Formats: sequence, structure tokens, C-alpha cells
Amino acid sequence: MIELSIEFAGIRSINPFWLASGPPTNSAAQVNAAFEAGFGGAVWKTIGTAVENVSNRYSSYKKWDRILGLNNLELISDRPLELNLKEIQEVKKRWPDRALIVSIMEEYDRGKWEELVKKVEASGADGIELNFGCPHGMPERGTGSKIGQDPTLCREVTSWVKRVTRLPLIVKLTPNVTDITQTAQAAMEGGASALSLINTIPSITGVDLDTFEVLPSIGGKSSYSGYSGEAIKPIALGLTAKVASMQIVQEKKVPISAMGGISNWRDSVEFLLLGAISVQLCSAVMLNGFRIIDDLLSGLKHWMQAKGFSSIADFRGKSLSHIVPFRQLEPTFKLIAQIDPQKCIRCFLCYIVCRDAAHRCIDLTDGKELYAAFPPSGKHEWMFPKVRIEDCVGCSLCQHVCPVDSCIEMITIEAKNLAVRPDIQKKLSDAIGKKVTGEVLYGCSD
Amino acid sequence: MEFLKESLPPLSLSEAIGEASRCLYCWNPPCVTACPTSIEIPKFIKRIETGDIRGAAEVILKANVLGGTCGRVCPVEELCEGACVITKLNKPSVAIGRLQRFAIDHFWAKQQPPSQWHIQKKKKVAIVGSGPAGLSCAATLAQLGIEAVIFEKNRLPGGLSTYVIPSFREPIEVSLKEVEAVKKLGITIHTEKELGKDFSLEELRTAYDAVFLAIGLGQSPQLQIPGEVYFLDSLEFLSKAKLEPWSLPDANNIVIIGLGNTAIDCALVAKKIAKEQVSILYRKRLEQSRAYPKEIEKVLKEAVPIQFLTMVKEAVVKENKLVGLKCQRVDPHSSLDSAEKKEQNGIEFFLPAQLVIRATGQQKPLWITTMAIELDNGFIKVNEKYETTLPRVYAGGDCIRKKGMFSTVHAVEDGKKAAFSIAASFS
Ligand SMILES: Cc1cc2nc3c(=O)[nH]c(=O)nc-3n(C[C@H](O)[C@H](O)[C@H](O)COP(=O)(O)OP(=O)(O)OC[C@H]3O[C@@H](n4cnc5c(N)ncnc54)[C@H](O)[C@@H]3O)c2cc1C
Ligand SMILES: Cc1cc2nc3c(=O)[nH]c(=O)nc-3n(C[C@H](O)[C@H](O)[C@H](O)COP(=O)(O)O)c2cc1C
Ligand code: SF4
Ligand code: SF4
Ligand code: SF4
Repeated sequence: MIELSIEFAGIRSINPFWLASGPPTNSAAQVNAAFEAGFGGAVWKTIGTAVENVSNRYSSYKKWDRILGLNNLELISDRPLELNLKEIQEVKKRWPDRALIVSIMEEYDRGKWEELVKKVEASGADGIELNFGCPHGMPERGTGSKIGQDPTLCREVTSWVKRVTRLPLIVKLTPNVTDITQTAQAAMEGGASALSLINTIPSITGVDLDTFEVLPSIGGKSSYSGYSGEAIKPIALGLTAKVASMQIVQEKKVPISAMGGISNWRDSVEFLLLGAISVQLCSAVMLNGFRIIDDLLSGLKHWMQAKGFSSIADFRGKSLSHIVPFRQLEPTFKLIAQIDPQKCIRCFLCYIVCRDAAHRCIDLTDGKELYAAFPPSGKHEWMFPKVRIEDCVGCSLCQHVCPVDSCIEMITIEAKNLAVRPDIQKKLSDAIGKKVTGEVLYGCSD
Repeated sequence: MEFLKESLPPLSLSEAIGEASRCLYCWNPPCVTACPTSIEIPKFIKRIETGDIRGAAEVILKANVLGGTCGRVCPVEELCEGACVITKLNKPSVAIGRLQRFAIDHFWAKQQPPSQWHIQKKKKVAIVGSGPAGLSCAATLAQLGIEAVIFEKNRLPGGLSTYVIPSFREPIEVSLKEVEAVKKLGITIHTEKELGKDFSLEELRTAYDAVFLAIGLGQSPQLQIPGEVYFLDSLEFLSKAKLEPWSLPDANNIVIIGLGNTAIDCALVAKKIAKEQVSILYRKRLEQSRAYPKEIEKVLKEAVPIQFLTMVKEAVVKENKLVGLKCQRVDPHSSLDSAEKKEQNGIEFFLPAQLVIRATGQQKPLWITTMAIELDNGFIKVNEKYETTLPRVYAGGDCIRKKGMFSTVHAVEDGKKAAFSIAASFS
């Protein structure tokens, strides 16, 4: 039996997938639909200070027709506060088994924060998340990432809230700092019961080459906006690992809710393996709708099944121990590249990158002479790339650019003792059992 | 009967960028090796991908002044696209031809034509024939600073691209636009000036520092059968269909003799403009046809019946009008050399036809036999520098194509290379 439910700072949730505070959690209608679809929790779109949003608030970073990153200039909720509170109350009543957390933000004014917290507490929500991360609009008003970037303010505001609520208190961190552990530390000192990260990253998605306008263009003008979606995942992963590895977090078992670029179950598992208890999604839902929860649950469940895990706790944080300081990396560990001539399509991308950017150890050799057994087929086959083993440093650049699945394998240096030749290479990689690509890049749920 | 439209629609900008993004940007790519004019294909494709269409067109035109035509008419499956490495991953090759057409069309639509080159007028070259070979030679000479003058016997310049290649592949405007682009480099084209009639080769040799013969080939050879005068030659048919479709006779049954690429073009054009019964008669077996497999597929798709192993014995004419053909089945085991051809005694039958098109290959330039130029199997003999046996007389294009493909891009390459040889001979 596989158990997906979690407990996060005392809040129970039927699965670890939550909606992050944002456009998908802006109303009861949406959150109800998300819960109906199967999401385990939701962080209500930030409420508090009255704001006015702008049109054309999104831009995207695309590679051809694929969105890699989303950029927004949206502020916090611009719906009436009372309406939000009334809806939160209704939703919580209807969904007792889901986590409903309310994200809040006020100006740097203790009275205002306290008043807001009391209202939220009355709504029956399971927890409060402090939005210390919004990177646009709000900092100009002295709040959002303005607070999140300053450990002193972060500690202070957290403690204001802590004093007036008994609800679990999550502080949402901004990535827009030099050292995220300092703000995480401050939040905990201020009384946070849990941490969530990351909020969006300040950025500019692009400039229109015809009009010179910066994107997104709001009547010809733009502003630094918040970057999210797939493109930010590596940054979010790194920061999650960093926070999860903090001594105080480890000792006090501070729960972490992670987000930033999660778009499928694989991404989620990576965050869980790096120490998160729950994961939140915003952009992926904005780009695909609530239906993706089905696939998230399916993938996670099947992967757990394949790996023999029966609960999230079985594997949470399991990968953290693989992160060590650079100096502890093993200097004697060596790989070399080996090319499978049967798979090679002779694009010579490996040759050109090794020649221009690595260690100049791929030669173009006469295929006929090199691979006598290779069947001649077609007109344009006259040379093959071949790695000069003694000069290869195993940087793996060639493997990354090769467009053919597992055509270039990185094999351990023990291979040096064997004569590396194509006719034996299949046996060789089997014997060494180092199908590095197979495991790391393409492993699937079963 | 009406004009035919280009059948393949142009790519939109986003389609082009999407397609361009599929190119791997190979190093030493086989597509370039397979292109007779060695266009730096990955380079121009990368430029399309980033929206530098002018840069893409520059890359193409540097290697091939007729990039717009070639992007449409090249047998890409046999050349660049056939060599694309992507096919080894069981994916369709990058659509190089269509991307090339996209780049050149945009260049023409959006950009100023390339500026005139500085022509020194110290040396003058006469070019006979304004087909792809002649145009490419003239443009390359101009780029090298040498004056070139083209003489063309037809009313319109452009050779087969203008007159014969069916509009569904290349509309006449494309061909003429390219001619204009070449003219803008500073080249004069004298039309309705025929070598051997209006002037002689000797005259050209005296008046010019060099002569480039780019005269292509002639019409199909006669079949030597009774009533043949009632047949239309394939080139005549195609140029009528392309330039003045209304001049073609109405016919319920159109029969095409032959199964080469030209016969297939005739059949496809006939099918499109006449929408009547169209069929093909072929003396040999399917596997003996030299047409590209993709082309044969097209006629099969259009449901044009092909009668294999069938010979035409004579035209059946009634009241001065063609009504059909007397045909005969050929013994599948005969080798069909000319001796055996006449002695076939298979079943004879009558095939109704009001229009018969003879598409049995193009004839070598006949008039050249009267000149002091050595021929090789009927083609003009040249060495690797494109020199004929007459000093300072060069030749290229279909008229020298003793072996290899009769194609526009090969003619373009000949013209380009000949221009380099001519220029080298001046220095
Ligand atoms: C039906 C058909 C379809 C084809 N389709 C394709 C295709 O899809 N793709 C492709 O790549 N190739 C195609 N080809 C082949 C291609 O058209 C030729 O290979 C190419 O045009 C050869 O160029 P050229 O310059 O050598 O000759 P041509 O294009 O034949 O040009 C020769 C020029 O010289 C002129 N000329 C001849 N004699 C004289 C003279 N005595 N005085 C003055 N001028 C003279 C002619 O009028 C003509 O303009 C096709 C050919 C045919 C017949
Ligand atoms: C349009 C938009 C609006 C957002 N609004 C809020 C918000 O009101 N409060 C908040 O804490 N985070 C807000 N976020 C940040 C998200 O909650 C999340 O931290 C960030 O987008 C990274 O996750 P993702 O890559 O899954 O989108 C917003 C994000 C987007 C894209
Ligand atoms: S990158 Fe891969 S496919 Fe391309 S030449 Fe190198 S080994 Fe072959
Ligand atoms: S691993 Fe690095 S050094 Fe070795 S062949 Fe590949 S690119 Fe060159
Ligand atoms: S072979 Fe194909 S993938 Fe490679 S450069 Fe040419 S078009 Fe691009």
C-alpha cells in the first residue's frame, strides 16, 4: 500500500501537491475545482494591502514554441479582502482533509499585520504563509521582497505575526538574496514553524527588437518582473537543498514546502529527495490547468512502487547526503567518453565541441579502416568520430551535445585496462555496469 | 484551360523558424556535400532560426544566384535532404528546400536587391543561352568584376525555368524575377538573338575575350513513325501550358509517350489543366524508368494509368485529326535495342487519343555539329575547366551533361565554376 498523505507543521494533507499562492488560488471557485481534481492543498493568493493590477502582466521566455519560463508583473490579490476571507471559510468547511493556507502581506506596519492575521485566523484556515518574496511593485511600498531580503526585517515581522496567532506559520523566502540561509535563519528566529521557497526571481524576459519596448509592455513601459516556471527549477532546487541542509533545519526538523519550476512528478520527487515535505505548483498549473494533478499522482505513485517506498517519509531528503563541499569530491574518479559507431549519425557535433571547447581529443577517422566490420551503407559515410582515450578528460561535453540517445557513453577509467574497441564495447559497458546515462537521465518509474 | 498555381504553399515565419530549429547545425554536414553548389546549409538555416532572413539569403546567394528557383525545383530527396543526418534517427529530414525558398522569397519581398558590382569592363565575355547555366556564369563574372553579355534565342530569358518547368513547381514570375536580379548586377541580356542564325561563333570569338556556351538541349528526338507530325513535343506542350494554356487543343484523351521525369511533368500538367483522361505509354518496365521514385509516386497518386511494355506503332488520323494510336505490346524478354524494336510482334491494339505528347528525352544540340567544336557522344566536350576544344570557348549546363543529373542546380554550379575558370584565364 502506498501512502501519499503528509503532515506539515501539524497540517494534514492527502498528498504533497499544493497549489502555490498565485492566480490559480485567487477564488473559491478555483480552489474548489483544484481540490476536486485532487490537489492536496492550496496556498491562497496573497491577501492584504489594497492593490491595483495592470493589464498585459505576463511575458514568456520561449524556445521556438515551447515556454521555458513565465514572467509576471502581477501583484497580490486585488479582490476585496472580505470576499476572500468569506470564500476561504467556505472552502475550508467543504474540504476538511485538504491543507488550506492563506498567504498574507501587509505594509511595514505592525498594527496592520496584526489586524490581518486575526481576520485570517477567524476564517478557519489551516495555516498562514508570509509573502516576503514578491519582487515587483510591493518592494516599492516597503514590503514583499523588501522585507524578505533583510534578515532583520524578516525576523521582526515574523515575530509580530507569531505573537498574535497560534496557526502554523510558514515564511516564504525570496531567492533574491546573496545567502538564503541568513533570511531562513532570521525567519526561524522570528518564530516561523516552517519555510517555503522560492518566490519568483526578478528579471526581464525580453526586449522587442522592433519597438525597443521591454516585455511585458504595459502601454510602452515595463518593470522588473518575477520569473517562474521550468527555467527556474535548477535555482529552486539548489536553494531548497541549501535551506534543507542548514543545521537548525535538520535539528529542529523544520518542514519545508518547496516550489519553483515544478512541472511534473519527476521535478516533485527531486524536491522531496532534497528535503521538502510538500511541493507547490503555480506556473505549471497556469500553463496546463488543474488536470495535471492526475499525472503528478500517477507518476509519484508508480515511482514509489518501483523503488519500494510506501510513504513520502521513506525517501524524503535522501539525496541531501550526496551534496558535499567541492574539496570532498573524489579526485581519482575518472571517466572517458566512448562513441558507439553503430548509433552515430555523423553530425560531428561531438568533434566540434571537443575541438573548440574541451580537450581536442576526438579525431575524425576513416570509418572503413576503423570499423572493418561496419556495413557500408549509403553515399556520405566516409568518416567517424573517435575518442583518443589517453587525452580525454571525461568532461562529458560531447555526450551532452550528441543528439542520439546513449550514443556517447561515459565509462569509468578502468576501461583503460581493456582494449576499447567497438566490437567489444557492448560487452564492456555491460561488464562495467556504468550505464550512467541510463540511470540518471532517463530512469523512469519502472 | 488556365494557369497553374504553385502547389506547395510558402512557409510562414513561425513554420520556418520551427523547421529551422530542427537542424542540428552539423559540422562538415553531408547536406552541404550533397548540394552541387555547396550552399552552407546549416549556416543559412541557423540564421532563419534567429530571424536573420537577410543573412540567410546572403549565404544562399553567395553560392547559388538562383537560390529561389533551386529552393523550388531541386530534386532535394536525391540531394541535400536525402543526405540529412536526421533521417538516420528515423525522422523526416530538415525541409532544406522549403527553407531556402522561404529565405529567398523574404529577401525579395523585404529587402533591397543586392547592389550592382563594380564591373571593370576590361574584359568582356559573351554567354549564349540565358538558362540557369548562363545566368549563373554571368552573375559570377559580374561579381568578379568582369563584363558579361547574354544572347538568348527565345523571347523570354530564363531557359527551361521560364518556359518548361511546370508552374505548380516554379511559377514564371519566380524565374523572371531571378533574371531581373541577375540583370541588376549589371548584365545585359539580348533576347531573340540566336547563335548560328543571327551571329556566328567566330563573330563572338572575335568580339569577346571569351565565350560561354550554355545552350541546353533541344526537343525530343523523332520516333520515326507514321503520323508523328500530329504529336506535340513535351517541351512545346509544357511551355504552352505554362505561358499560354488557352492555346492547347481540347482533348478527351491525352496520351504521353515515355516515363522519364519530363513525361511525368507532362502527365501531371495535363491532369491539372485538362482534367481529362490522361495515360502514359512506356516501352519498358517500371523498374527501368529513370524518373525519380517520388515523381512516379505522384503520377500513381493522380491515378494516371501507365501501360508498361507498350510501343507506339503509328498515329491514327481521321480527316486530318488525330484520333488515336496504334500500339503494340512488347516482349518482356527482349532487350529492346534498336534492332529488336522494329521486329516486335506482340498484340496490337488501338488507343483513342486526341492529344499525344512525345516525352522521349531531349535531343543534343544539333547545330553544334556544324562547328569546329569537338563533341562527346553528342554533348559538347569540355575539360575540368569547362574549356571546349576551341580556344577561349567554354561550355556548361545540360549541353555538356554526358553523365550525371540534368538539373538546374548542376547547371548553376557549372556556370559558376566556368566563370571562375574564365576569370582565372584573364589574370
Ligand atoms: C520538363 C522538365 C522539367 C524539369 N524539371 C526540373 C526540376 O524540377 N528540377 C531541376 O533541377 N531540373 C529540372 N529540369 C532540368 C533543368 O531545367 C535543366 O537541367 C536546366 O534548365 C539546364 O540549364 P541550362 O542553362 O544548361 O539549359 P536551359 O535551361 O535549357 O537553357 C538553355 C538556353 O539557351 C538558349 N539557347 C539554345 N540554343 C541557343 C542558341 N543557338 N542561341 C541563343 N540561345 C540559345 C535556350 O533558348 C535556353 O534559354 C527539368 C527539365 C525538363 C525538360
Ligand atoms: C502570476 C503569478 C502571481 C503570483 N502571485 C503570488 C502571490 O500573490 N503570492 C505569493 O506568495 N507568490 C506568488 N507567486 C509566486 C508563486 O507562488 C511561486 O512562488 C513561483 O511562481 C514559483 O513557482 P512556479 O515556478 O511553480 O510558478 C506568483 C507567481 C505568478 C506566476
Ligand atoms: S555527436 Fe553523437 S551522433 Fe554526432 S558525430 Fe558525435 S557521436 Fe556521432
Ligand atoms: S569527454 Fe570531454 S574531453 Fe573527452 S571526448 Fe568528450 S568532450 Fe572531449
Ligand atoms: S545534415 Fe540535416 S541536420 Fe545536419 S546540418 Fe544539414 S540539414 Fe542540418
